[in-house]
Amino acid sequence: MMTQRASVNGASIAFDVRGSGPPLVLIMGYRLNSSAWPVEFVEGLAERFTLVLFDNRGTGLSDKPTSGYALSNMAGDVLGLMDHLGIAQSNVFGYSMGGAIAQELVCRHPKRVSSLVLFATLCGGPAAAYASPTVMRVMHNLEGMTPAEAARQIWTVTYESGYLAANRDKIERQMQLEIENPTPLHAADLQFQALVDFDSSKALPGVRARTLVVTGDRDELIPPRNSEAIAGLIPGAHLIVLRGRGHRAIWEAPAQCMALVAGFLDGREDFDDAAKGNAIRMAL
Amino acid sequence: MIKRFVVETLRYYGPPLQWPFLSFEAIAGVARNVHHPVFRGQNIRYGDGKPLLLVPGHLAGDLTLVPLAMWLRAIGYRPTQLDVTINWDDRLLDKSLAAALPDVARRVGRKAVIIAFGTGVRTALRVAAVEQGLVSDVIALGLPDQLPPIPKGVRLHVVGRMCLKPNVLGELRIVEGSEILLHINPKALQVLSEILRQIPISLLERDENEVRGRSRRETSSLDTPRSQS
Repeated sequence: MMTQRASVNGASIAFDVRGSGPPLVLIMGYRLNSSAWPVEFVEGLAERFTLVLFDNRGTGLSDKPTSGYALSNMAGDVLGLMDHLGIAQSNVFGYSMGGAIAQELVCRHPKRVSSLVLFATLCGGPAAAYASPTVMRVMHNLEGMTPAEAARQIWTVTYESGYLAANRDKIERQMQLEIENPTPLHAADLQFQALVDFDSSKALPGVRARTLVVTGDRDELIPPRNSEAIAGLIPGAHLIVLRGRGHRAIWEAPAQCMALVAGFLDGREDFDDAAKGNAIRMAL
Repeated sequence: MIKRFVVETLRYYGPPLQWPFLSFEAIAGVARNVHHPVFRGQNIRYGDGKPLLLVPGHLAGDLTLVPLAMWLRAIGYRPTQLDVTINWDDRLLDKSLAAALPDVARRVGRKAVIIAFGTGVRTALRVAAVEQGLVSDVIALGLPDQLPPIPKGVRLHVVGRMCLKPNVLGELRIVEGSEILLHINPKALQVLSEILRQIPISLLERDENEVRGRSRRETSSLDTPRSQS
């Protein structure tokens, strides 16, 4: 639960700061709020970093205005929050749509980002590979469903099928956390619209921050080709493909993902060892 | 009623001698534009899920507007048709539109936009006058001879040919081509998407509470996590 609020960039943003060490801003994905981060993932990172967790505009306890969802503006929210907290430069982790916001942040304010982790995200534009029509139908044909029914339908394309079959109770508990503060429809629609409009492909070659790009090889929602494209565009970026993981790889393997991210941000060269053989480091 | 029907028919489709030419023009237009990039969504900006109601023009019906409804859904809106087989008198559509409007607007929690063709614009403006709290904009593709007053608080956007009356109140966008084929005219669709994109979201009053972060819990079944990533 977010405990503090800051007025930044024309909106009230709910946030929380945990842990100690170098700053690390976590940016959540489409429609989810910060209460969705897996506990194991967040607690592990908080032992080594000062985590800044916040609810994107339109989600959780932050404002839910009817405008201002362009991802460049949502990056402005992150920047405003960093200013509010007196953080001149930070590590930045972006998941899914949060990864797109992180790209906007690093492209527009390169000096404010020390290291970048882009997890299960895309860069838009001609390089983007969008989900299949079948997956998009699963995501869109949810009218008239309760939050729980909708979430259960979405599971089928966000979690890896084997993991989903074996962990239904765990996923059900996670879902209850996520729907405690549901995102209103207008905010979700505007976030989705912003994601469709997003295109950082021309700006990414100018990124100089040390960058890690991670994807699950069974991500149906944002296919792994997107991460390959991003890693190909950012000079010196590392690409890790997690074997047998879907779009929700962080939730499927929180400890591995935490170790991978922490290892990379610590500057270790063998950071992918943390994934214990389940990660493939791709040559670019 | 029959006189009115005949007058409207002659106004829209001209004298019967012209009808074979109009049919040919329609077929040629469809054949020419069927592969137009607009229909694949190229250079069309994605929508924000607005609830839309489609009102057919004279002698048109749901079937005529199916391609438009599919296209609007594909580019990110929520179109609804009125269950009208054929519009042969626009006054008879009032009941269908008035019945559909509250459900469509409340399901999405926003004021609806009515997209109306020809004589259907009269229906749209009459119903919008009664349900001003549920309609933000009316987009007219083609205009009938006489229009009811534009309701206060409802914006009118007009898309059509050069022969549109210049004294019509509202935003006027000119496109070339047959007025009876505006629903599949690529230029008209491009303009329609631009207008829709510019229309801001107007939440219904009960949903205004959702704008602030510390608002009450969600209650609408539609305002639910649709997709989480």
